[in-house]
Amino acid sequence: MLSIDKKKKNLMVDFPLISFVAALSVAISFIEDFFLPVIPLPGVSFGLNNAVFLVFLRKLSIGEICLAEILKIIASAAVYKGFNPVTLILSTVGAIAVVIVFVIYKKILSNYGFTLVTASVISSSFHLLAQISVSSILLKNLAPFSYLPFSGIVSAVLGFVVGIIANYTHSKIR
Amino acid sequence: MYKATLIYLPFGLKDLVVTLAFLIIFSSLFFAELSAKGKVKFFEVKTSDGKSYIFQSDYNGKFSVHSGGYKYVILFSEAKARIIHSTCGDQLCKKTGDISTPGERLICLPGRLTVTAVGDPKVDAINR
Repeated sequence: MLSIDKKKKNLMVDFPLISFVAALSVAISFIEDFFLPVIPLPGVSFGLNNAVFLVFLRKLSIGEICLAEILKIIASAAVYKGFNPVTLILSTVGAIAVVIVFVIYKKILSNYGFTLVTASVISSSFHLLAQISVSSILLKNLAPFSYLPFSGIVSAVLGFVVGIIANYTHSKIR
Repeated sequence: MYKATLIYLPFGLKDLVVTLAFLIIFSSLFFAELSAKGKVKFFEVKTSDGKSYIFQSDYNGKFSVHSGGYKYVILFSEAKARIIHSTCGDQLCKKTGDISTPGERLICLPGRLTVTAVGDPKVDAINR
């Protein structure tokens, strides 16, 4: 795998890695769906599939992360979620929130001693918050926010665990 | 890996602080919601076209409604409400089960239907 600087210099995009990350993320997301009766909103999840992105966060550029997220959304819809407009909107919003958190982590937080655990906790929490916010807009009332407290606690705890796993995996891959 | 006394931890102190901060924020919301419990007075059903239907908590029966292009059948029984039939694809609203506590909701996002249990908040020592 080339470094990000070399990729930028040669205007290269690591398509095999993007495809691998997206495929693994779709698989984890599929398994995650079996354990989601806590939040009865279609497309809303804890963002556990972001663990794959976290492991390769330092290897992927922001553009590659965006491409992988787009590929993940399309592949998820094609494989099992279906091209339901509501689910697509929620998946896209969640992905946008996560990419923003990843950018903030790469540019700022990683320089101040925060590890992938922080990126994971913040990305999972904001992923959930963004999806619930958009659900609220679609419903035109604040009803989905009633799911935020409990699902937020679960999301933060799972984000912490996923972050530890991502940290450990990243150290082994290196 | 970070060293804490004689134990190597897979996270740093800053990571722990961030995680605890999020847990505290979500927990405070959770306990704020718990403190607003009481008895259900009525159930409110809102559809995608803005219509609202009120059912008292002692109402027993079924209610059929269309919302957002989908058909729903809601069962009211013993101060509880649940969606027993839905034509939406996800069926998550059916899987939610009963609602019987003020603040609880049944939501079907594709059909933009919400069923809310509304009641008086508990009167606690501070309010008295």
